Amino acid sequence: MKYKLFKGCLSVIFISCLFFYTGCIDECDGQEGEPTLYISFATEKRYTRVYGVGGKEKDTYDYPSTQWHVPVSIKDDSTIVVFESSTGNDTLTIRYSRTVKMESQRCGFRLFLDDFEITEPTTFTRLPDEVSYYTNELYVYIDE
Amino acid sequence: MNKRSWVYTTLLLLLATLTQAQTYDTHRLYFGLDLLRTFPLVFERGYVFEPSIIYKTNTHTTFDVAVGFNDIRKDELYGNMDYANTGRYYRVGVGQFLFKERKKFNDFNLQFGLIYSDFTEKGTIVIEGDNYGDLVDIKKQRNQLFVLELQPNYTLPISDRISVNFQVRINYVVSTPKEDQFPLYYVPGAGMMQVFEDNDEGVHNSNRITEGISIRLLYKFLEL
Repeated sequence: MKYKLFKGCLSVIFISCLFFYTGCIDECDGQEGEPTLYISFATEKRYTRVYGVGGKEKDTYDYPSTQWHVPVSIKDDSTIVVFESSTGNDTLTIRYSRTVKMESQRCGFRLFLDDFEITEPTTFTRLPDEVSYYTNELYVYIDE
Repeated sequence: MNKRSWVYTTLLLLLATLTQAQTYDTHRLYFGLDLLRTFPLVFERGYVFEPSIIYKTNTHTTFDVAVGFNDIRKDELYGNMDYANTGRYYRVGVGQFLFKERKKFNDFNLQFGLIYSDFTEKGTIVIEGDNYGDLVDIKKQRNQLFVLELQPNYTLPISDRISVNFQVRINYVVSTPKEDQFPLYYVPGAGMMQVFEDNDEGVHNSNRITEGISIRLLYKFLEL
């Protein structure tokens, strides 16, 4: 009985260590692909298509929502997001700086985005002061 | 005399002939071509071309002058960078025969050299963008470095004019390299800079001491 308990504890410790170690070695800070921009609104919007200009993805929607998302271009210094609806189109433009640098020998070269700002052409008026950025994710809240 | 004795006698006679003291009291000029560097094995593509002129005096001192050209490529260096190194180098060396008496198969020399290497490293990084397209970033860094070389070598005669020179090359990069874009990887004429793991501050370091082996084909075109 004691032996089984000891074996069980040992297995739990071993698996925990394994997960902890795997988690550690996968940590790299910079981008290795296109991050996603999440745009949240104060009220529900009924957009039929939300997409980035120059992108391949043009998803269609048939339900209202307070949050929409599009990929951010790493090819250019800005991404123009178009919100299509039956009553008219809205536009949001985010500009940023891009730097490719070697993070470490393990992570290799990664893209680092910085200096975010919302610029023209943008049709929204109640815009946030800043864009929140975490690796692979950007967040914008529009108070409309 | 049985068959085995014949074989032993023949072998002994052959060895005695080969190791017989010969006169090397002449001035000789050789043309050399590095063979191992021509096909750099650790790289995916490219070449290193290193012709040389060697002058051996009647007192067994060697003067060695070489010029090298390289254009080499390696895929996926430092994780996700395609690496290219193009440049040239110049090498001068002075060597001395290591033994008292010169015989046919004891041509061991110790040579000291100075290398000047001028090269450009280019790294191409592609970060994939599935929706809008890929980001392609090119990084370049040029270095002009002085390198000291210690080179024990052995020359094996194949015929009167042709011989093969086996070298062990130990190099020390004297100049401080520029590594602002990425850690220096390869110094033409000196070899690979073995990169240490990142330290806690994320600073990359290169090993200034490199070592390698090389094989050079020699052709004696003048004897005075």
